[in-house]
Amino acid sequence: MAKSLRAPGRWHVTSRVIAALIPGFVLVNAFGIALALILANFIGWSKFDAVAFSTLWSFAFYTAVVMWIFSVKTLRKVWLTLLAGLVVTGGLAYGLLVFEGTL
Amino acid sequence: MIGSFRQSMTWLHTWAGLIFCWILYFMFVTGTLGYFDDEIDQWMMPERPAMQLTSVEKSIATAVPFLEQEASDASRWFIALATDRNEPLLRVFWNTPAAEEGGEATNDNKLLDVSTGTAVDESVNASGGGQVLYRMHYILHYIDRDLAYRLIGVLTFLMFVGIVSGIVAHKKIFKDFFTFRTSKGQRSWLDMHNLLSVSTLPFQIMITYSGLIFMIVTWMPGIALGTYGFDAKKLQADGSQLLGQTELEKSGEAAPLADLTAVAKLAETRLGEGNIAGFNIEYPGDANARITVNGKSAGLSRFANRVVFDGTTGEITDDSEIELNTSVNIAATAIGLHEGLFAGTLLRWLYFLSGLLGTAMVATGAIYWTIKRRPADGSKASFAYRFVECVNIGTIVGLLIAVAAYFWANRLLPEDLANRADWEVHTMFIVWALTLLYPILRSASQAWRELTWLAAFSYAALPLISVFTVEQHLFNFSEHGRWTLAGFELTCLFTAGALLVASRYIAKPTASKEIDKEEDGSLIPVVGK
Repeated sequence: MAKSLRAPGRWHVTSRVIAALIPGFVLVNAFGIALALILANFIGWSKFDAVAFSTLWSFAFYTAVVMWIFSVKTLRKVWLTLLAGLVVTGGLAYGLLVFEGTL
Repeated sequence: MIGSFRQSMTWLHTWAGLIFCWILYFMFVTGTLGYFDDEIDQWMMPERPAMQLTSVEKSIATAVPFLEQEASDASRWFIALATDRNEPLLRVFWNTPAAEEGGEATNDNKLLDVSTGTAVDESVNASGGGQVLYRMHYILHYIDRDLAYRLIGVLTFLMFVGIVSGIVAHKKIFKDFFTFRTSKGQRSWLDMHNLLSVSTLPFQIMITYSGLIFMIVTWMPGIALGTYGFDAKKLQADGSQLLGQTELEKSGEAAPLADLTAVAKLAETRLGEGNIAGFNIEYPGDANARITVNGKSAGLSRFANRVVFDGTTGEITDDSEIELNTSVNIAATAIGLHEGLFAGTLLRWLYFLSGLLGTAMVATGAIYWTIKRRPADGSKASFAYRFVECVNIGTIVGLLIAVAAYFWANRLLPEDLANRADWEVHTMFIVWALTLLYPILRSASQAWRELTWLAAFSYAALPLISVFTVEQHLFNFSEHGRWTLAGFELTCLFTAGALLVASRYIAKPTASKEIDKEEDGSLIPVVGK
């Protein structure tokens, strides 16, 4: 057990900090938009209620994302998963905006 | 990232915590003092009338003539009634539009003394009071307000990450909560950090997450904007509709303002007797004037209902009850809980105590970081280690001395000094800078002990300084009977006593450098070492 407890390399830390600041932050926003649109379009909430709900809990989502970024073993997995998450949530959000005719 | 999930979280907790722990500590100290902001105001400006709870009629009779005289060309007046501890005096605000095209709109406010009908003179013995001190916890000082606000948002978020990762990192959170090993050096610091954090966990989570809610507009506007297809106007329209706000245009035709006393009477039939907090008057003197009477907020939430009047006829135009949605209600309640304006004396002290425990949580965490990494006897400390150690001492004790210096400055600076209120703050930061430098010259244990003594002295001396500088102080309490002033000075004496006790423990050399690998599981050396 003691062997695995090395200090993480400098690049490891920098890369994860950047991942948390940029794609991580964008992911939280994209997820929040998608969630709000789902609540508004399929659960029947008013748009403003949905936005308020999504925004209120966004910092909790972000916390989870940051903790996840700093727990995953390899950088490859961090970045690829974030990228995939961005494509899915961003695509979903965009699709829903087109679906409801906002865009 | 390293080892198990829990070990990664320990790493994250350590570094998210350490990297800004001194500013977090600063936020905790100034924010905690903020629970007594009005009391500190009174102590720092004792010549000011303490509290003038008076009838709505009398407040209107004082405020309106004053505004007509001082702010006849204003686009908006706001009259905030003296209601309780949070608003002890009548205050008026006004916005003046730019005089010419391209000029700048201005706003101003004045405290009014209802016994004389004039503005309270805020120029003699000018002081920032508790307000300037408590505002530092979210806008810092000396740097641009917006930048500071953004920065504080990041720090608050890191604090929240620190809390959650700290909980996850803690394998035996309840067992450890009941374990306190005294005089065990490193282990005792960790136990103390755990005890402080776990016992106040609900408060820490509440205060941090609600702190983030204050930051929603600054940091998370993207979700709302994106959901509305990046159409800011539509978003704003929905928000205004929820809060029952409508746009108002100036007509340009003059018309006298409706009688506010009659308006207040009518508003009380909707809001409840004695339940008015203030009057918002848009375009006073214009034919399109509008008066909004705000009620007092009930319960924990900061939200309060209102009644809208036509500003010339004095007739009700909108008295619909505003129904907030659940999420907005949660946010308003969280903000109410954060500010604790609803708290009475006992609860206010509990808030203060919780804040102090949070302050101690940050401090013990920072101290634990250095104790854990203390170089073996005889070996030389790295620059990074020494840096953290010095800033720890200069901040954890130094900031307390600096706050005392802020109070000293209030008593000792000449009454007519130009920018006196600014100099109070300068004194505070100059003293803090000195206490940051001092540990460089001394060994860590000497610096801890000596600065803690200095801190104890600086608080103990405050009541004595008052004797020579102001008319009302602790030692003639029986003559003036103002509990707020006496309470402040008693708290200073108590703080001094607590610091003296602390000085006996804080610099004790670690008895044994016992490292508990199995239980701790977080032995991570300094990065780059």
